[in-house]
Amino acid sequence: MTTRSWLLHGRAASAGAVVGALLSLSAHVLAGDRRGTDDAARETTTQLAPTFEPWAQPLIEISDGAELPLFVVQGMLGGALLGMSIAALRRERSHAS
Amino acid sequence: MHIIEGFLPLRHAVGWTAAALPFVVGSARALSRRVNAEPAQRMRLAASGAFVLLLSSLKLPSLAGSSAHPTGTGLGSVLVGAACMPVMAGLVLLFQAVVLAHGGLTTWGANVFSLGVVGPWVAIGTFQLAERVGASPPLAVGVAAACADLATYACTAMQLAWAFPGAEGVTDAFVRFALVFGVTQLPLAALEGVFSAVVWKSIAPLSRRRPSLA
Repeated sequence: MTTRSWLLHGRAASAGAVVGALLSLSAHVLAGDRRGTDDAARETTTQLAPTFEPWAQPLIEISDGAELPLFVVQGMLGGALLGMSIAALRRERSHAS
Repeated sequence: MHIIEGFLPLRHAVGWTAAALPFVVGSARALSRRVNAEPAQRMRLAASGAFVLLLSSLKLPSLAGSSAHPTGTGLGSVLVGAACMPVMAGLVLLFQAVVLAHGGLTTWGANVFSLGVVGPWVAIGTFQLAERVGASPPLAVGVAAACADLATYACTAMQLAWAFPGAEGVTDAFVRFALVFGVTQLPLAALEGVFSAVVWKSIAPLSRRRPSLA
């Protein structure tokens, strides 16, 4: 890849990362304290099988405050990769034509 | 659709992992073959994986004061084929289990089966059916993505009902879990359909590949 295409891909990845972060952040802000369906399903499980005890715990404990930035990072990664791939596809297409 | 860490009995966790693994291995081989045969496909595959990563990071508000995540596998299935999706779903679920404590390693197989196998196959089937009845490609993609989303959550409801049938049996438990997910997921599935159709419109002109299972 030439320096120019690296710059183009970098710009697309940065733009995608910003869009991904904003999407993830705004979705979480809109969702606020609404209960997730995972928790609702856990509650139903407890009602159906009151004696069931989870036999494994997550590798790490994530506090409520840390969850948002981590999801935003995931959104950034997804957005960056999506932006870069769309830019690369556009470039391939323009070269082919 | 994440079943929480430790929330499936051991034999169900092992069984679902055994059921999902052949799809993940087959998917990795399909990806490798695809990239070797057509290096130009790399970016389409990357876009599909990225879309799953992006959409599963969105915690969206829905009806009844609840929230949930879209899946993102419908668009990828139509872009690169359902056979390529298990490994992408597996990687995203692994990332979420290890880094975000979302889902889990013991429930990874069950979650891969619903997100990476059932959803994508339903997406392809729905897409082909929608095209056959004359739907435009963006509409077909939107409907396929929405159906993939709903099918993923229906599969999770089935997995939980099978593991926890309660006193009334599996069918009653399935209805209870399906209601828990359905109220939240119906509007989100419609939203995912619209979002997938929009992204499809920006990628489709760059892609010459026809949707298929392989």
